[in-house]
Amino acid sequence: MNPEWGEDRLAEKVLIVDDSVSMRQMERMILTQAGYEVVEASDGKDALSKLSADISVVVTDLNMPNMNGVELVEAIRAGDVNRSVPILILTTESESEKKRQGKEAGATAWLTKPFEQHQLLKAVRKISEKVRF
Amino acid sequence: MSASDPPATFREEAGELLDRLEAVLIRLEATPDAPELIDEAFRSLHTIKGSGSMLGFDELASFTHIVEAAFALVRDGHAKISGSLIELGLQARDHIAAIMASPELDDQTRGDGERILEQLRAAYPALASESRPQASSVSATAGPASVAIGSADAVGSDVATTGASGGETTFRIQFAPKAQLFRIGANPILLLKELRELGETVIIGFTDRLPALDELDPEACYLRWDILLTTEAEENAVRDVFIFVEDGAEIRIDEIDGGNLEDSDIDYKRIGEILVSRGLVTPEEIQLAVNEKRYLGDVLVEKGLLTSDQVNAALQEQQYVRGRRETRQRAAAESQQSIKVDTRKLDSLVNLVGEFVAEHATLAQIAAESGDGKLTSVSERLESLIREVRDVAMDLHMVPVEMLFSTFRRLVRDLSRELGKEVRLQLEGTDTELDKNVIERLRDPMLHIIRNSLDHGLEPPDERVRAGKPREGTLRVAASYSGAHVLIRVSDDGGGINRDAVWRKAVERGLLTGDEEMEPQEIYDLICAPGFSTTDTATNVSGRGVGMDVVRSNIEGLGGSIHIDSEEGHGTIINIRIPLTLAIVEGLLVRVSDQYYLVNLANVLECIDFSTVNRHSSDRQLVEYRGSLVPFFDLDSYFSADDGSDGSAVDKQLIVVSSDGRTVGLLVDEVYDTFQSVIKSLGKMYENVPGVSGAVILGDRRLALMLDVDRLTRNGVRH
Repeated sequence: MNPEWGEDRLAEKVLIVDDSVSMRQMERMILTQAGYEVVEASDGKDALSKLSADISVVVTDLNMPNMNGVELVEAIRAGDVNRSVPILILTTESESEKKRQGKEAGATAWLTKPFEQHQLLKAVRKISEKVRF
Repeated sequence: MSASDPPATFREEAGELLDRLEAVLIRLEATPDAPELIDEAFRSLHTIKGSGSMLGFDELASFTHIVEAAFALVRDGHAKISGSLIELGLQARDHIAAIMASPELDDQTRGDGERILEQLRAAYPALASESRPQASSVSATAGPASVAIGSADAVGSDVATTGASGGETTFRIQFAPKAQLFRIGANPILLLKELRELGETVIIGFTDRLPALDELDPEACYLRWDILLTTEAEENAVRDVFIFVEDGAEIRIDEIDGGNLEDSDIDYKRIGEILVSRGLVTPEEIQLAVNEKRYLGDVLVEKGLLTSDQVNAALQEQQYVRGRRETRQRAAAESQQSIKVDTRKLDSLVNLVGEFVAEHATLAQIAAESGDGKLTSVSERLESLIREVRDVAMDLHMVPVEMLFSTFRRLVRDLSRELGKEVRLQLEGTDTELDKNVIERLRDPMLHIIRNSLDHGLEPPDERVRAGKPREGTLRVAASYSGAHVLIRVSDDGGGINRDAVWRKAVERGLLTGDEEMEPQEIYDLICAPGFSTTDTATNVSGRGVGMDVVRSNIEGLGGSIHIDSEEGHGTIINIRIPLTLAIVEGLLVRVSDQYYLVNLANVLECIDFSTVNRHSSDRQLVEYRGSLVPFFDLDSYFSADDGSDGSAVDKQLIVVSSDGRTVGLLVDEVYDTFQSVIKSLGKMYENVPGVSGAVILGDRRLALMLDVDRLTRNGVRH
């Protein structure tokens, strides 16, 4: 769709974690249009079960039932599967404390809701670049 | 609902969340000390807010934000759950459902929402500081912009817009990552790239910590950098670039040059001062080194106090800041280098340049006839110089239409009061520039059009409300460039033009017989016909029917055209096209019989040998042109009042011209070159001769008449 994002990309896999179906749909639309492959999870526990070695980036909400975003980041970093995967946390601006917690748990970057389509793409692209270094 | 329709999914989802919220609140009433219920209520509201804001449900998001904040207070132990919070929560739930149901809120629903928020604020004073969440205000106040380390572009652009008022600041950033930087997954190069996106940078790398090859750990970071960054962003935004590596690096950020002119001592700091401010040496050490009366840097390096890299970095800083300050001073000086000139002097300059252009045409002709190569080359060089002088002179003469447009504000304000109407005036493209003389001559026609719009176009408030429109009417005046022309568009959202009324009036006035078939466009054109007015009782605002025909002839006198379009009930648009400048036109010189004519090059589409043109099989007055049929006429018969047999048209040339979307062909005997010239008026006696709009003097002192293409195409199409 958008050559800037879609070009020469070997369908990288992004795991999106959110309990809101509409958020997941929206993220899926944005990412698949840019050529990414998307795996969805509805909370932290679900995400852990779907995290595999071929996931390039995790995009997660913070407020979720079962296991929240900060706990998910901690669990990924302490786990055995793909522990260094770049993680983008989605916050709202009333959650500056959560953002800190997310960072301390090992999140790679954050993005504040509401965001624009291109902001999500840039963030995902940049943090996936970072690990290739 | 299809899977790819997030707004629809959101409605469904929000409905479920609201149901759950309701159930939770009712359970809370029975068991108020259940933290998991509070948490669930909070989470439902939080999801509604978050997803809603993403999907543009702003009203919903800002309302939900405050309700959510109340539950957050309880969840975090800052407040106690109470019966009234549960009651308000339920009301809020209903209100959110109401917002979901109708995107356009009526006053009562909105009032309900306000009341709920007021009661919440009364019960929880800590909420007073909570307000509508807005991405833009957040990045300005809260520091961390939308995206952290991973996507600097968003940070950069947000900050650039919000911090612009403070002007540019230069920061010195000393960035020394610890050896384990790579192990926490950070890439320093990306951080530098991010800084570069914030503004202008000088990046100086240091290799002094690099060990010998056999001691080198490939996974450790030995490099460090000094960065000079000139940016509109604030220090916090610069600091945010490093937020994810704060623990993995030593970072020192100093402001070394503010944007204001007060501290613009060109010399900036001495090298010693820079080194001290970088915390590399003490003032005492500098003093000792200075006493040696050699280059300071050399001494310090020799003494082992500094590396040469460090001295170089300080020198670069000195040079960079000096450069910035010089640029700034020059810019400040330049901005004052304008002088006021009497406009009459400008006018005479433009006229002289026009004469210059015309006179040169004579020279060019003499040169061409003489066959003298030297003379020709002088003439050609002169021509290009004259062209440059002309462009400069024209540019001096241009002023923004703001000058004219700004006078409309008062007019609209006063008139709308007088007429009992509510009107919002919207001015656009006010920085579009036009020849000063054109602007002056546009004033009267524009005022007339605006009066018409206010008087006849926009309806009284009550009538607008009955028609389902906002009480306040909108009058928009917009200017924009369009090739060698400026397009001025006056549009209103009023009642539009009633074509039947125009038609009847035209028949009444004897302008039409009543049998004609007319396109809507042609009917609107009637409004500009001499002696036409749709209101019998002329008001003192738009005058007594002398209206639009005078407006049209004024605008045509400027070489422009006017075009009316309207939709009944929805409004009227008046497009005015005006050439950028009056003084000089570029035209195509043609001959008809023994008379020369100039056709404005802006109107010419193509010149075709008439013998190659296909005539329409039944209507001999039509030719095929690029897939459509175009009327044409012979200028010879047009000007000689001869009835025009087309038998002699064999050697003729067809010039296809267009104006205002009307295309016609004009038959001429011969086509010469393009020709630039000053257009002279034909004087009072001849100013209304149909088909010509002025005269030019040719190189050989003969006269050519300027064809009035607008008029000719109108005639041609009606023909």
